[in-house]
Amino acid sequence: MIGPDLERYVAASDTSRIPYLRDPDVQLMLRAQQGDEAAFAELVQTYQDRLIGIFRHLLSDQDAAEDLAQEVFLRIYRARDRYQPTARFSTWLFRIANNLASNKRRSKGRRREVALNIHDSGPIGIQPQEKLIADKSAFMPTRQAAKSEMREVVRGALESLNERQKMALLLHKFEGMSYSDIGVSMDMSAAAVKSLLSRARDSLREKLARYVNGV
Amino acid sequence: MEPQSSLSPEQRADLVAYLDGELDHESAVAIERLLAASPEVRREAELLSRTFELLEELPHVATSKEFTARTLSAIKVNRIEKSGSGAVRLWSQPMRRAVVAAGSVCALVAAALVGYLSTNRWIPDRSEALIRDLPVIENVDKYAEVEDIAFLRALERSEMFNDSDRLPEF
Repeated sequence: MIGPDLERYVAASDTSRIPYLRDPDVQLMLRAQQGDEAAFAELVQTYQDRLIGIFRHLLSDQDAAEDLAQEVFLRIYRARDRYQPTARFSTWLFRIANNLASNKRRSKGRRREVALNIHDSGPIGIQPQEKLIADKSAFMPTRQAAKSEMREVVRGALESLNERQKMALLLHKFEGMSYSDIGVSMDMSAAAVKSLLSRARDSLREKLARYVNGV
Repeated sequence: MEPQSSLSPEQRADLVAYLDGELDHESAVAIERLLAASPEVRREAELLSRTFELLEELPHVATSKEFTARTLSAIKVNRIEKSGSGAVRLWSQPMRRAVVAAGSVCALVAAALVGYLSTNRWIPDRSEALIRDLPVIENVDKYAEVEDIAFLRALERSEMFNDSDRLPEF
């Protein structure tokens, strides 16, 4: 339900110039901006599974995914007074998500660097993701692979992508976002997103060749 | 590993964008010509599509039941903290001014008091000395006529004068 203030806001705005005002999630956010807590709760419920899903695939850690998703909602809530509907709500939300994930990656990367140094001189080296996939594949002929094993292989292939490729691919596949919206969320041009997604799809095709060829 | 097709990187990017419905009309027509002309490109497009479909095999992520409640509670706490700090800010502004004004007045009074006390105690008052020596000053002409102090003391002992005429003690 749209409140009278929001109705006036929408009426006063040129909706041809600000098409995002018709986005129902933008309307929820504008209601939240006016202090409607129920509207914000609705946004949390609408996006929580999608957001945690993206973070879970990016970080491979359920607790970290939920913590980061909560942080996204908190940031959105804190920024509500300054909110301007200049994009679809989901684009704005995933932009915040991407920024947080980038920060998380950087701190995680620093920790991993230390861990790698510890193992450098040890007898057990870090196995590249591709080798892990190949090892799994060797024990799983395409036609006989169980569904759970297939999931693991696909997950492994996804994890072998770099973080930006992964994010763009997940936003495109599971959020159905256009190249342009992904570009806004990831602070890239649409052309750069196109190139990024092409390389990601090529990489996946190579890693999953055994499965896609046999279908 | 699957051998790479003869498509250039740009054509491959266009092919992926075509499959995603993201290609402009002119480029889409060019890709459609390639698809029509080359079984290899058609095969490539097929493999790319199947690969993309395989992502649906990714495990479904279940959100914990308490996530919504936990998040909304965190938001509520944030709101309370913000309104609390806002109230403190609003309250502290006039309070700070009052404290500064009261402090200034106290400092002024203290400075005046210290000034008064120090001038009163340590700087000698000339009128006090005059008042103390007034009996001498009033009789200085008489004293000038007396040449010997011993004579005066003898005169005093003779009790020829009233108490008020007694010589001051030196």
